Amino acid sequence: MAQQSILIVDDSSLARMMVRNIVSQTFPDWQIIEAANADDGLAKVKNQPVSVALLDFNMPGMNGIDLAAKLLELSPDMGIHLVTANIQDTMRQRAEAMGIGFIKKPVSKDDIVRIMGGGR
Amino acid sequence: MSDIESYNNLLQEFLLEGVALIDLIERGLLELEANPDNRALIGDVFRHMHTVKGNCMMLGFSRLEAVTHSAENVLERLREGTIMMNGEIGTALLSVVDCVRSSFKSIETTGKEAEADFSDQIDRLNLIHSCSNDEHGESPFCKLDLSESGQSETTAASKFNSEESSLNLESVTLPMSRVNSLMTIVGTVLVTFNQLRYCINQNSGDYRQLLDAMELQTQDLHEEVLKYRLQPLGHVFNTYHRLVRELAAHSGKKVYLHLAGEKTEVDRAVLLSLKNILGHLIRNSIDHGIEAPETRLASGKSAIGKIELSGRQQHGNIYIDIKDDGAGIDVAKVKEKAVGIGLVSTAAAESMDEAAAFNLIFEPGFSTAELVSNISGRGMGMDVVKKTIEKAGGTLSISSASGRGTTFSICIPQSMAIVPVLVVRSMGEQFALPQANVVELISFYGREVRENIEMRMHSSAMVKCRGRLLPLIRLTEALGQCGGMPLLSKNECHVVLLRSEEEEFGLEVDGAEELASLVAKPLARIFSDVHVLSASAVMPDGTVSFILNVTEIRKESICIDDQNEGGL
Repeated sequence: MAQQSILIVDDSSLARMMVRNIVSQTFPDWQIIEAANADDGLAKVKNQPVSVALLDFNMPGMNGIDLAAKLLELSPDMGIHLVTANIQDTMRQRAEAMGIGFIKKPVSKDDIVRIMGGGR
Repeated sequence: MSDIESYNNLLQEFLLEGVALIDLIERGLLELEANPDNRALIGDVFRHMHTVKGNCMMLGFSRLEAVTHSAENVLERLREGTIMMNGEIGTALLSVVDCVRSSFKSIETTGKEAEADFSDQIDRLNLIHSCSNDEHGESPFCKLDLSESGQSETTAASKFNSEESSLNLESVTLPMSRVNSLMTIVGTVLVTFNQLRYCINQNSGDYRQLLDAMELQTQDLHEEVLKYRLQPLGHVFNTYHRLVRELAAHSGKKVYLHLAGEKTEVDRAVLLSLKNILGHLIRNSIDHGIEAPETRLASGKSAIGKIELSGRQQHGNIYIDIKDDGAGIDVAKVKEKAVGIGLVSTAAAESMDEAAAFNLIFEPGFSTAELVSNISGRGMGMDVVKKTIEKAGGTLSISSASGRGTTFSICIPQSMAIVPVLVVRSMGEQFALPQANVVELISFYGREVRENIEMRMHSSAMVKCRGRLLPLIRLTEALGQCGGMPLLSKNECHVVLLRSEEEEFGLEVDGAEELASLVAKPLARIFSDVHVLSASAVMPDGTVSFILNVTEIRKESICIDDQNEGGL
């Protein structure tokens, strides 16, 4: 089976580091792709199939929801989750309308197992 | 990697990133004190504070989290524009920067955050934050109640009003400086009024000059108050995320709602009248435009349908587009349905071009309010949508490409409270034409009448104007007034050249009186079926009359012509 990969997009290097730590401990086989903003994230997955993506909402430039829309255009099967500290109703509604999941910061090991557990 | 080692790595990353962000925040705040209107910078500072807060939360520094959270709340208000940056707010936010920095130092040396609970800073920030939504708060802002007893509320029967309160269109927050400038203008008006009274009582001095001055001052007052009535489109746009979510969940479709131009400002009355209409058009896009995810994938599209809601302002008009990337309108199906329900004959349908076929959608009876859902209440027919926009002096048009999507475009006046008009006479009564529609005035005397006006079949007329032949409509006929003299036997003939929806035509009136600015009042309900009237108003001579809807005058006269032809 080809190696699976997860995309982590967050402008906070600490936030990326925490998710990376959990993923590398829990699913050591997965390839981890990190990006600090949406454009960087899009560029990195262009030629690289990704099965799961964790996106921060508040980022410089494009926000997480707009990035999710672009990612789903590239690959409709990607499992996308918005990671955010405070979930506003509007944000939740927008994500739900698009069929995107939610994870509250800080990301826990349980969250990661839940979304990556079955491969995807 | 051991847990301790990994924790130390995290802590190091936390400090590295945190110190950099706090520096950026400090620099931003200082620059904002000099440039309080720099929206992009406010956005940056907000986001950095948000990241700092998130990072503190992730590592469990709860006291730091609390103080940065309060700061984030205040920054959010600044970003929304509900409060304005001032010295007091700047100082409060900069004190947070100091707190966070000293606590970072403590974390660096001891691994723990400082013991201080920052309650002074938090209280101060919370006070600023609460003042922005509490009208009793002692803030440098005041609130105006702008409630108007049910004029726009009656436009459409929809239950999509549950969020009316959260929209907060009923009150506005004003900086004290704006109230003061209002007071200054009122002061100058009073001074002029006193001079005017003296001038008239004593019969000395030039009252005309004073009248002119007063007119200018009243215009200033009008412009100032108008500014308060303007609200960003975003207030309404943002409520549709909920609607889209419910509709998407209900239909099993996936929809991405993209907003643009939310900062475009319109009069709150216009905003209220748009609210239900836009909701209906979005509903329409999801119900009829956006395809199911499987269908979209099969036709090579992204599974997620996209609806773009965008607004912009130009020449006193607001343009709003509702654009979807759905299936588009099937012209053949539209024609089929129109023939089926007896709107047009088969022959007429066949000869119809695409644009004309799209317009069938707006015919009464074509799209009925058949769908009643628990989400948005009873939808209105597309004919009602179009009529409502036209009542407000706007237009609705449609464009669509099969397989690629549909765009509804609305153009509506930014404000409908005060309308510059040309007052005209017809059968001894006064009517007002919006100056926005008036191109020019032409008068013919004696022989010129016969030389420049041509009669066609069915008593329709044409007028020569700068080498062009344009349709001529008689105001008496458009208003259903009887007893006018036949056009060609007139000794003088006054024509107002009007433009509506890119088309020009002449309107024959008994006389043009003057230019004026009228305060438009909504029509009494008994006139709601008289489409050629758009509002009532008090005329300069004190009588009450109507502002006419130029678009409707042209349309109704075309209808009459069509009927006449059908009768042959």
